[in-house]
Amino acid sequence: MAGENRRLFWHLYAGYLLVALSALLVVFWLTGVATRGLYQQLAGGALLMALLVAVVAWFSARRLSYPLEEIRRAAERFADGNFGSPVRAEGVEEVVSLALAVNRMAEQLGFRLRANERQRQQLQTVFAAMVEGVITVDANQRLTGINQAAARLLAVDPERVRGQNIRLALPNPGLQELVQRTLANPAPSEGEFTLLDAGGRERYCRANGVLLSAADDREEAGAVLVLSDLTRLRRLENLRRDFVANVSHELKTPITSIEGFAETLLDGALEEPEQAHRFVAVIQQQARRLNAIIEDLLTLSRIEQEGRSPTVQLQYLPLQAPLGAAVESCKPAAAAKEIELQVVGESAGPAWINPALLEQALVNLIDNAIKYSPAGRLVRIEVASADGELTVAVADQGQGIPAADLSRIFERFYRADKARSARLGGTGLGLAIVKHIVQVHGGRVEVESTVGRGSTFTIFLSRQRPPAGAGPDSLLIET
Amino acid sequence: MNRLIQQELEAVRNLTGELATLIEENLQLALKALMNRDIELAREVIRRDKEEIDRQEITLEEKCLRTMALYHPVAGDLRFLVTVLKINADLERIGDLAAKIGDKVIQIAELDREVYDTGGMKIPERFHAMHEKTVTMLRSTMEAFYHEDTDLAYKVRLTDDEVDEDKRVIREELEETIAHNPAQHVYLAKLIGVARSLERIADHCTNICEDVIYMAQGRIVRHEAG
Repeated sequence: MAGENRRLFWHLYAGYLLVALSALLVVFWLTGVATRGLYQQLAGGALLMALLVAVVAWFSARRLSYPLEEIRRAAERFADGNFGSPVRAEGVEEVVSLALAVNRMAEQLGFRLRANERQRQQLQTVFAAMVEGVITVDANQRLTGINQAAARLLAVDPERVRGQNIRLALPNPGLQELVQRTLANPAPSEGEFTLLDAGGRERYCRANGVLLSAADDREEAGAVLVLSDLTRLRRLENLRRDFVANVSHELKTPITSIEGFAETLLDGALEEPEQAHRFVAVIQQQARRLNAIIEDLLTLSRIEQEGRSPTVQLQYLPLQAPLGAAVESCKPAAAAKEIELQVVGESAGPAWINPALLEQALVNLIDNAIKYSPAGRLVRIEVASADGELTVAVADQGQGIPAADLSRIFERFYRADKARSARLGGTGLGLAIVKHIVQVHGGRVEVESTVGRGSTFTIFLSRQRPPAGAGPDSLLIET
Repeated sequence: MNRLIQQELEAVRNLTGELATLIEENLQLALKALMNRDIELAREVIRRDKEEIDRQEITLEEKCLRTMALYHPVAGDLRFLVTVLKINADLERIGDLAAKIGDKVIQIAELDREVYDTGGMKIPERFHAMHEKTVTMLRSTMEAFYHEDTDLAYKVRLTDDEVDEDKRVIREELEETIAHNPAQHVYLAKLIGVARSLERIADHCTNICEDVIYMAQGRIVRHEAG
C-alpha cells in the first residue's frame, strides 16, 4: 500500500547517505594523506561520523516523504467521499503549498458534491410526488429508474425491477415497443398502450418518451418516458358521447312520429274527421312526451347548477311537508290503478333538505313505484333514522329489476325494459334526477330488487350539514 | 469467454420474458373475447398464437441450443439453459391453451348464435375469480423465474390447488345448469372446456415453478407432495 512512497523515502535516504558518505570518504582520505598513518584513530571517528550521517539522512528523508504520504492518505479519504478531515500542512514549503491546494480542492469537491446531492434529492422528491409515472432506461434497454406512480400503474415492485431489462421489467408489449422506439429515435415519441391487470380490467395509458443526451462520449444515452393514465378521461369521453347520442335519439323518436302523422294528415287524412282526430291525439301525446323530456333535461341541469353553486338552499327541516306534498301529487295516479300509498314513520326527525327538490325526487320514486306495480298492490313509503342518517324507502310490489340492470338504472336514458318504459310515458331521466337531487343533499340513493317480488329505493340523507359544494358530477360527464 | 456467455444468457432471459409477456397478453385477450363475445378478437388470438408466439418459441429454443453448442456451459449456467428449454415448452403449451379458449369462443358463437347474441350466456361468478387467479399465477411464476425467487415459486405451487378447486366448482355449477336447462348444453359444455384450459394453464405454471426451484437449488421437486 505504501510501496510508492516508501520507495521515495528509501531513494532519498540512499541518496543522502551516498552523498554524505562519499564526502566523508573524501575528507578521510585527504586527512589520511595529510597526517599519514593515523588511520587507527581515524577509523573510530569515521564510524561515529557515518552513524551520525545515517541518522541525519534518515530524518531528512523522512521530513520530505512523510508529508507526501499524509497527502496521499487524505486524497484517498477524499476519493471515498470523506471530506471531513483536511491534510495537516507541515514540512517544507513546497509540500505545505501542495497540502493547501489539496485541501482547497477537497473543499470545492465537497461543496459541488453536496450541491449535486441536494439537486438529486430534489429531483427524486419531484419524481416520487408526480402523478404521472416516470421511467428511465439506459441504452441497453435496462430499467434504471421508476417512480412510485409508474410502479403503481404497472403493478410492479420498484426494488425488484430496477436494473432489469425492460422485457422482464415492463410486462406489456405495447410499452416495450414504445421504449424501443424512443431509444431508436432522436425525435420525441409518443404512443398509447393498454394495460391489463390480473382480472382483465383495462387501463388506457399514454406514454411520451424522449432520448436523453449522453453526458460525455464514454456514456451511452438512455431515455425517459412519462406515463399517464387516460382511463378516466376515456370513460368520461365515452359517457359524453353516449349522452349526446342518447339525447338526440330520445328527441328524435317523438319528432319522427309527429312528422309522420302530420304528413299523413296533410296527405288527405284531414278529410276524415275520425282518423284526423286520432292522429292529432297521437301528435299531442308525442308533443307532451317531447315536452316532458325537455322539462326533465332542464330540471337536471338546474339541479346541477344549484348543486355547484355554494349557495344551495339546504334547511334543517322535518320531512313531513315535502313527503306529504309528494304523496298528495301522486294520489290521482295511484287511485287510477287502485294502489294504496302507505306512509310509515313520517314524523322521524329533521335533516338538511331542500324541500322543493326533495319533493321532486320523492314524486319520481313514488311515480315509478306506481307505474311498475300491477293494479291493486301496495306502495310503502317508510321514513326511519339510523346512525346519523335519515332514510326514506319507497318499496313497491311490482315486477322488480333484473340484477344485471341494477347498477345502471340511475344512468340517463337507461331503461331495463325499453319498450314498456316508453309505453308508460317515461323519459328515462326520472332516476337520474333522483340521483342528482340526493347528491345535492350530500346523500346517496340505493336500490334493492328481486325480480317478481318488487323493488325498494332508499334515499339516505345526512343529519349533519353537508359540506358546501358537495354537488353532483357534471351533467354531461356524470358517471 | 465467461463474459461472452453471460451476454448470451442475458439475451436468453430477455427472450423468455418477451415470450411470457406475449403469452400473458394473448391469454388476457382470449378471456376478454369470451366475456365480450368478440369473435374477431378470438380469431386474432388464434392468429397471434400461430404466428408470433410459435415463432418466438422456436427462436428461443434455437438460441438456447446454440448457446449450449458454442459455449459448453457448466453448473448454474447449464441448469439455467436446461430450465429455459423446459419452461419454453410449458409456455408454448400455455399459449396453445389460450388459443384453445379463443377457439371455444368461436365455437360457442357458431354453434349457438341464438343464445350468444341475445346475451343469454351467463358466465358463472367464480369464473372471474379463476381468471384472476390464473393470470396472477402466471405473473408470479415468471417473476419467480426472473429473480430466481424460490420462495415465490413454492408459494405459486400451492395456489394450484385453489385453481383446481375453482374448476371443480365451476364444472359442478355448469353441470347442474345443464341438467336444468338441456337446451343450453352446447355452450355450457364449451364453458367447462374453458375452465379446464385455465386449470391446465395453472398446471403448467406449477411445472415452471418446479423448474425454477431446480434452477436455483439444483434440486428436483417434481413428484414431491406440494
